[in-house]
Amino acid sequence: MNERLRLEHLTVTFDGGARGEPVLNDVSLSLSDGETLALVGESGCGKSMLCKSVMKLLPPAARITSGSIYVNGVDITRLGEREMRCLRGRVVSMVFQDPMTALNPAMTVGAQIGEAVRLHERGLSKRDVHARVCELMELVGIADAERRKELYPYHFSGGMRQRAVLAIALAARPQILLADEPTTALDVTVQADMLALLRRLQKSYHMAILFVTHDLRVAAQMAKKVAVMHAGAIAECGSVREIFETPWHPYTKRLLAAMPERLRKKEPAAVDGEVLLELAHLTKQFLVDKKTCVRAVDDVSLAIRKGELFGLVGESGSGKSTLARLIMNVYRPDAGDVLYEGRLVSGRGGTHAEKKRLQAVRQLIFQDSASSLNQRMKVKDIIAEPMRLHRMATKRGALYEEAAFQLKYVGLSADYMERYPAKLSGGQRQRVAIARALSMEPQLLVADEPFAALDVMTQAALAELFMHLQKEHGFTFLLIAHDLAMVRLLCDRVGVMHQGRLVEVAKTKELFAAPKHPYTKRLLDAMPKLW
Amino acid sequence: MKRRFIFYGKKLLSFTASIFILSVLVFCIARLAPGDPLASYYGTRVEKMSVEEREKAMERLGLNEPLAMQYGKWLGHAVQGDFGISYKYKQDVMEVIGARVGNTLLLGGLGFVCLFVLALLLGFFCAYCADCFADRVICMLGTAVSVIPEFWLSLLLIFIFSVSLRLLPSSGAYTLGEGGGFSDRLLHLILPLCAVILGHLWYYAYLVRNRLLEEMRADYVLLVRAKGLDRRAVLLGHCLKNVLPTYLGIMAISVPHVLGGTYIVETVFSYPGIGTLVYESARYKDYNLLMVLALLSGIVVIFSSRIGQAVGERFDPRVTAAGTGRESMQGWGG
Repeated sequence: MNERLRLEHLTVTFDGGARGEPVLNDVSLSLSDGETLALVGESGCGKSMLCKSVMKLLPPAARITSGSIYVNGVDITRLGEREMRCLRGRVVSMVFQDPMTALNPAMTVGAQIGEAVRLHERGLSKRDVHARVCELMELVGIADAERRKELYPYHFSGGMRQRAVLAIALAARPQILLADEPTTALDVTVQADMLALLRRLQKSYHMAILFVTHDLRVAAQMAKKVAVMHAGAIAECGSVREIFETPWHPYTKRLLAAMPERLRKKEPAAVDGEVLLELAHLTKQFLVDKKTCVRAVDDVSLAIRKGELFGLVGESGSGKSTLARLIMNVYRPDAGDVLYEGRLVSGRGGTHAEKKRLQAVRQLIFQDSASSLNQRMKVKDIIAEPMRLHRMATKRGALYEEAAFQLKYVGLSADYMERYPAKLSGGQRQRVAIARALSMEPQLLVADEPFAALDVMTQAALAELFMHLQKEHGFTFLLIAHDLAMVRLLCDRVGVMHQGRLVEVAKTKELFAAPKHPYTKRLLDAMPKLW
Repeated sequence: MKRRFIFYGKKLLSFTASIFILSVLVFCIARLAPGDPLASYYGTRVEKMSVEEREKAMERLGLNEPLAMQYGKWLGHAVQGDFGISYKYKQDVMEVIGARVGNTLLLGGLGFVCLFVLALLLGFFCAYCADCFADRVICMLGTAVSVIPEFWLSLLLIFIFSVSLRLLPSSGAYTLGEGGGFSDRLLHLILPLCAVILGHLWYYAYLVRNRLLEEMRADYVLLVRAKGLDRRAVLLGHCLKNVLPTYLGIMAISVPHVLGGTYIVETVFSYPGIGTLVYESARYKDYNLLMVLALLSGIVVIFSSRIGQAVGERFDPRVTAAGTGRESMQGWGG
């Protein structure tokens, strides 16, 4: 087997950074033809930097300070920009994490693929390029290429865009493919298709793939060899079996322990309390244009009892978030009712005081805490604001003292009170959002994909926090997620949504053991498994 | 077909309404401002007029009636195409304007085109070699020039090229008595044109430069560079495509802005165009002239912003395709 890529003691640092610590510290690894190496680590550990240094597309402030990168035996750290351009796309290609922003929004997908084709095979006629583009699109599984290549990226779903990006990367039949979290932003079912596609392409093209991911389960599916990265250095490298069964590095051990499958499960609560929230034939539609409208939520009926942890799963666009907003009275349903404690709350009536009380006892936590927290407010003001608005009688003196208490309660010290959200990590921001919601002592807590943007370890810590808080407060919890493992870990009952409909509701154990609806079965099959 | 008819009907209605409101406002404000309209009609003779003579003159010009009556009369004539006479020129308003509008269109139009072409080229150049020596020098010079007020810049140009170097004429649109041949007109145009362009150039060039550099930091550029394209191809083939629709929109919205600049420059260079007329009519209370000029400017503003919007819709595929998912919020909370 030919060795395609070898990194030797690679160190990358940022110029003028006060930190002074290298982003990549003495990294060595190698990759051969037809081999896949999975690179696992949490965000900020330097995975993307590693890919970008191989492409030599580092941000201007970053510099390779020592070590070498051999591509087909040539040290590319010495190459200039002109020589690098010949390598990019032709020898080394890259697929990026976020398919929503990776394509130029003002060019058709076909034009963007065609550009890559023309760049590497000069002198092709228009018809040849056209044929090659169609061939590439079909290769990556975009059916009806003739028509679809005239469309703009915004017409494509996330999975389709990622396929288009892959087509661009494959245009010149590269020998090395760097895949930087290619499936992180995708749904479970789409992710499964994408992984299968990558494996198939590798076989036929005999590529060397460096597969970057933060999900150990995905890594185990894709590769035979795994490298665990921590704080810019390779912590441990070995076969999948070695990493999973006999890890020696403390970081790898912690990473493995944080997987939802390995976390201690919650004792299922007895679900026979009185009904807190009831949805009856709830329907909500959105106008897409003047003629077509989409039924985001279609005739959903559901009852959630007091103290229950209910999970709602489904792929993006299945209407989960719309349902959450209907429950919180952000949207008005087109048909059907929302009953809270047996009273109709989705109608036009109701006094102002009653509405205000309802908003206080039901709290919502959003997916993206980076944009749902006001960037210009300090943490203490963010937590104190709802208490101030509802003129709550605080138990612990002044508002800020109460805020400090709530912050401590979710595991953050009082030092964070004076900070702004931008200075916090994703997990810390999510904790602030939880503290804000809990300060109102809610009866019902709705969390809309609270784990989606977070690392495995942060997810695990938050999941444990949710379990702990629920036990203490006894609030009813509606968890919306696309990660089935997390729902399995946390929830008593699970509802599956598909194209706006609630297709199956069952106790967690029953649903995972014997799914009834075909869609649920597909969802469970798509779940990355350990072996 | 019917829907389209209603669409344009609505647009026309809102256009007429805005013009009507504008005319009322200008009419009232012009009359409330201090000054003597008779001065522009009778010139210095007005100082020697007795009280009775003034009364008679006011009556003749219809200026002693209540404001609403005056406006009603003006509107009645205006809808028939009669905008009255200019007090100063004692000619039909349209004739006065018609004689000069060509000069302004020439200066303004030429200035507009040159300005935006040069700004695009300069901005692109600066973005292409961002942070290199040439870019830094241009950025510094550009900022320096753009903070000089237009009238001062014009005076500076006159001082350098007309007074000191004696290369170019300092005022007018053509040499008096020669009828104005092509080269003569061109010579007279150079300085005002330079003043119009230089006054705004850096503002738009800097905008292009920064938008392009911002675009260079977008995620998709990483993919484009990973394909193996060089900086020039990335800027030309990808970034410019995303910046151009915004730029065209800004061009359209900037028509009034550039027009305003032209007015100032015209006044300084005593260039016989609309700008000088606006200045004079406002200063000497030439009401009828002022009304028409204000309305013309208003129409230009409304049309240019409409065009700006249309350009945005035409060139950005997302604007029209984005769902009109209008959502009725329920008015809950606090």
